[in-house]
Amino acid sequence: MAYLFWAFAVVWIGIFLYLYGLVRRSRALEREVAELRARTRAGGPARPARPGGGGS
Amino acid sequence: MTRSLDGLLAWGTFVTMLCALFGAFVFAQTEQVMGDIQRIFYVHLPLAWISFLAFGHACWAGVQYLRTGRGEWDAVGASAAEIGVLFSTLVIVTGSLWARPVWGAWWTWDPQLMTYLILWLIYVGYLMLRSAAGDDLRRARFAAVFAIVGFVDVPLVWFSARYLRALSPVIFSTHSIGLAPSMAWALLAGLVAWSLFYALLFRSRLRLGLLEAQVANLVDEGA
Repeated sequence: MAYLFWAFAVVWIGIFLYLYGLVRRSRALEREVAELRARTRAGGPARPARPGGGGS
Repeated sequence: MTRSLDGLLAWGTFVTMLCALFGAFVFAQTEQVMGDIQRIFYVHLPLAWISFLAFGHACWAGVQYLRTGRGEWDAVGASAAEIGVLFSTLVIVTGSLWARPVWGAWWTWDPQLMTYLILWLIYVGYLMLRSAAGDDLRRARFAAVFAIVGFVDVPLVWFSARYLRALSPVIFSTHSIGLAPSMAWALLAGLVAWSLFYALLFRSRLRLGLLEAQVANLVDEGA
């Protein structure tokens, strides 16, 4: 019975980890869009300036 | 329309998944030789089939991308392959958890297992290729070719169980289903539930992929 339990548990843990990954990617995207909006309003470059100098 | 379809898919997945779990644990009779461990099949087999479907989807998207050159097909291929790799990973793990008490080993170099492992490795390679840095168009073209070539392994997995000396049980043949009616119903419920779940997951992943591509384009244009 332990094998049966672990088989179903592994499936659902795997599915939830994947869904969690998708949610995290989605949140990162939302942050990026918000940053882009803020930069566009401020009239600056869309891409954040790199420490080395140019923003491209 | 999109939201209502997603809602419908979510509800359909929820209800059929409950039916599938009921079928697997309550409705299906206990197998006489293997006992309760056989119930792993009600999740293992649908996941395996849906992984084939997902890789077929990625292959089809690859063909469409090479034909039309539209970036949307690249996103379709990436989404399908990613879910295919997730499902096939779960297939390998659940298969091992079934094999340990039944065969006495976590893994054997059986033709079907080997060809399935190769399939998994091919699409893991596909995802690694996609994550590698490089020109987007070139990467998309390589990925499309990779997805098409990789799909060649799917019929090999299918036929290896039937025509080579494979240990894995063959449930479906051209003449009959090797299952009692209650088991066949439980398996069917699992197939429907996981198919709906694949559709739901694929749509969410595709939407995310398309948005990521759009944001990346906006950033590049604004740079």
